[in-house]
Amino acid sequence: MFIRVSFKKVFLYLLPVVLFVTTFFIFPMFFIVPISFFSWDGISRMSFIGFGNYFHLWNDPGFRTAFVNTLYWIISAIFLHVPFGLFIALVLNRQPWGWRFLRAIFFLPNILSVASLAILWYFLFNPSFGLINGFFNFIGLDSLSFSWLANPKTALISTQLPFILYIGFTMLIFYANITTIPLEYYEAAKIDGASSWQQDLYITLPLLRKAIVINIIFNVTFVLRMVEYPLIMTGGGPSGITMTLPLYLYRQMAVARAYGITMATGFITFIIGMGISGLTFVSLHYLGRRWE
Amino acid sequence: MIRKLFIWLITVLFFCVVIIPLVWIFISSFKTNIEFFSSPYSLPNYWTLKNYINSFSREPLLLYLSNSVVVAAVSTLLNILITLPASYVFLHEFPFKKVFFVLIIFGLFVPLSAFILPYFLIVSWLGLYDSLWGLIIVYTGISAPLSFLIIHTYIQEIVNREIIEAATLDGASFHQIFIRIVAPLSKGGVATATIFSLMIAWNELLYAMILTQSESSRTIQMAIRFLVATFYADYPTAFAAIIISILPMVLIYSFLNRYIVKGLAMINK
Amino acid sequence: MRKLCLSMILVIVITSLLLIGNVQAKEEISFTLFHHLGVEEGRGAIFRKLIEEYNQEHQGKVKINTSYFADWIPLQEKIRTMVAAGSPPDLFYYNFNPNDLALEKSGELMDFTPYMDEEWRYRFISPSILDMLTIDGKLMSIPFVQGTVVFYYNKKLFDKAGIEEFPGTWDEFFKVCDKLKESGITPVSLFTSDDAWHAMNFFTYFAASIGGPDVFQKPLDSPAIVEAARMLKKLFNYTTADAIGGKWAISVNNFIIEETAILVDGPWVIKMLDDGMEDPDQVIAAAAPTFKEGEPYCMLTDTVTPWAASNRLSNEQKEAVVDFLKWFDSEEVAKRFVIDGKNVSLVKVDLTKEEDERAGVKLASNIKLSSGAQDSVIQITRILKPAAMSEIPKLVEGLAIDRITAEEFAKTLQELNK
Repeated sequence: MFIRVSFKKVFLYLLPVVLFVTTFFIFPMFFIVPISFFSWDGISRMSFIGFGNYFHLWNDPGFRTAFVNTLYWIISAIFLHVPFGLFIALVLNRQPWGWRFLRAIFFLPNILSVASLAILWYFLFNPSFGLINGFFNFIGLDSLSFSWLANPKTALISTQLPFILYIGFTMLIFYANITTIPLEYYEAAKIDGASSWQQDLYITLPLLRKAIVINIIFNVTFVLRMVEYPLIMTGGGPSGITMTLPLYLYRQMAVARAYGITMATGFITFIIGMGISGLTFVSLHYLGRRWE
Repeated sequence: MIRKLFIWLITVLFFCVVIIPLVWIFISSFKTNIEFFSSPYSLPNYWTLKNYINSFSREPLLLYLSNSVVVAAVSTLLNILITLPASYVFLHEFPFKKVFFVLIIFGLFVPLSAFILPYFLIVSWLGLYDSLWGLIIVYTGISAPLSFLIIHTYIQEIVNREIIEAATLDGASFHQIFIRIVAPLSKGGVATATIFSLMIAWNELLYAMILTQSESSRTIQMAIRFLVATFYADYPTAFAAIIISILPMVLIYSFLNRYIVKGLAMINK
Repeated sequence: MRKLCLSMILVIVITSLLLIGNVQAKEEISFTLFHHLGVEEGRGAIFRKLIEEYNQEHQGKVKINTSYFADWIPLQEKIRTMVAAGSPPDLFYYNFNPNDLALEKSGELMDFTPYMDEEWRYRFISPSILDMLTIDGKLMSIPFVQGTVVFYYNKKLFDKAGIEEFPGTWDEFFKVCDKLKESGITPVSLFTSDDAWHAMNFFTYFAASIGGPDVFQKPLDSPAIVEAARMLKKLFNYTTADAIGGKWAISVNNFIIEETAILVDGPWVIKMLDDGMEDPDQVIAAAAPTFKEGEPYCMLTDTVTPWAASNRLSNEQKEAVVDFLKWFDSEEVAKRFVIDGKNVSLVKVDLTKEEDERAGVKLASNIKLSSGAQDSVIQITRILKPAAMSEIPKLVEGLAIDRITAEEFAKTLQELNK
């Protein structure tokens, strides 16, 4: 299939990329674990404290809240976001009138920066002049006009809700993949008398395995990276309620300057991310085998 | 039938959720602060451009915008420069090919927030803290896996073996094939990768916060982050600044929509 | 088309790179000053003007560049991160905290001892401040400002609610709050983000009234602190909906648009009030209430906010910095900063009667209240250990939304501050 070449020839072509990727993805991995066993504030000396940082995290209610919130978010990403995006993609596949326009609208939030969307929604949720309360007041449902970002009951949902904006990305990945499924399969199924729903279930779904994996992985890494929403909207929430793992990381590093803990938290985040990616890969691989 | 109804329901909802807030902010950015507080939802009585002028004079928004542009452009350029050659060599077979592939792609699966401290340390050690170059190299590194994937997939599809064989028979060397044949052919993939890389660099906030501090190296996203404090709670001016900051991306999106969709298709493979 | 784009990009890149690499005259010495004095703020306009004048006077020889960042607490955080990265800002000012000397002990701050002379020493209100700022025998910061915190209230709104004079005791104070609330006016401006400055001002005043000015020298889980926390919790019933999670700018803004009637802050808001309010003369500065009728009040102050400079500057730069600071502390310049900036400085300034008038009633009240106070106490968040300081928003919010009790507040505070 491919022409064989010696390593010497490709060396120079590969070197820059490998250099960057190693510096930024491989190298840091070897950093995180060792330093997480020390206590350091960046200015003074490091002091070895063994698993001290991990114990601290275990006992810190702030970390526990962050962990749980992030877990909620990941779960909703995998079990709500991805299926929903899939659903919309399936519907869009039938190309109803104006589908190009719809596609464009759905994808718009993905190109705007997270920061601008976060601050936009911060304004929307504002109790005195925000659009949301304004809407409720307008239609007479005064009782629903909360102080969204300050009320402990509504704060968490309010910071996680905007995530739904990003469904465009999920949907488009599915959509692009669906369009590559040869039409013959559908034709054959139709002849066999399958309804459109059944067609989707038995043809489209299994063939979309790869796309499902990709979407899950991308969404989860996105969630694990997203610091902007809680940071800009609530700063961690009334009394730490809306804290998430990435925000906790950022806080530990920039505010508390507890570098050892930052590394420890980073390590945990990394494990979660890689773990879920790996799990997704493997499980859908085996499921796929079964399906075929 | 139900399907159609459903899709329209979703669209309307989405439309409201995406478009209406933007429209509201846009309209409100033409009001004065006092007018905004008294009637937040109405059309301005007196449309004023003062907020836009103010946001430029009170804050060096132009500087921030240009910083963002520079960082996005240079990191994208570097990105393409390092991933295009690498994509080329994957057309051939060479020792440890699979290993390298996984190595480069690996970065896509990593949750970036885990590495903020290491990146900070690396950049400080290189002496690039609080400078645009620090941001540039970090963004280059971050976008590299994605750009590589896009270009690689594109090249795999477009360039087939016969072309390369023919060229080799004609006596072209390894390098010549790259420069003369493969590189020009990969324009489409490069275009898509460029857009994604630009988007990532422009929209990035977390690393911009960690790696820069002074005014001269601030990007536009940092300005947005601190909008309320910066403008002393003068909301309409903050709104004007937001509109200014999202305008470039919206413009790019409306013109280059196609490529973005194509790119997403490529990630699948 | 593609070639055009590519060449355009290259042009942009090259021009910007040229701009990044500053092309500077070789003889000119320059350094960058980090500050948070926005033009709206009292000191902002005069500060920028003074810098401009200094640059003009020393054109070709010394140039001061400024790096402005509006948000005080995040700016302080950034400064510490920069010091940790080994590239401290050239010149900046910060909150001096006797319980957190990380900055001073980092070795990244310039030592002013060799540059401090008798003449300069006596420019300061009390030379003992310099002793406080001398750590391990080195003087690494130069006094700049120290704000006094008073109760600004909106007389117009008070009149509307039928309140005749500012309350003298805390009981009266809460009664006044009730009355304001009944008249549809939100009594106080508070916020919980960053350092929860307004809320903690109240807290400090409460604690000092109950336990005396040295209440913070003792362990923080004392009954006085617990009672103060209880009063703070009660106070949150009298504030705006955006207090929780809100920032300083929003809280001050609420007072400016006359949404709230009481603001507890320093002299730097004076200009904001003068510029932003319809009738700024309705705002009057008053002393803090106490517990007993006629008991002398104590005055809350911010911590000393001194200048500091990077130790990595060249010798010429260091001398330029010293020269600038000495110029800034000279009688003439200091006066202008105080009067036009409506500021309370740590440099000795003798104001004539007409200069007093120019400074305005509110500043004069500030100074008068300050000199009439029995004791002074430093705002608590300025002297907490970093671990405690960074948890303040969470603790205050927890108290306000009933997630933690006053006892837990005090206990956690004490634990974090050990």
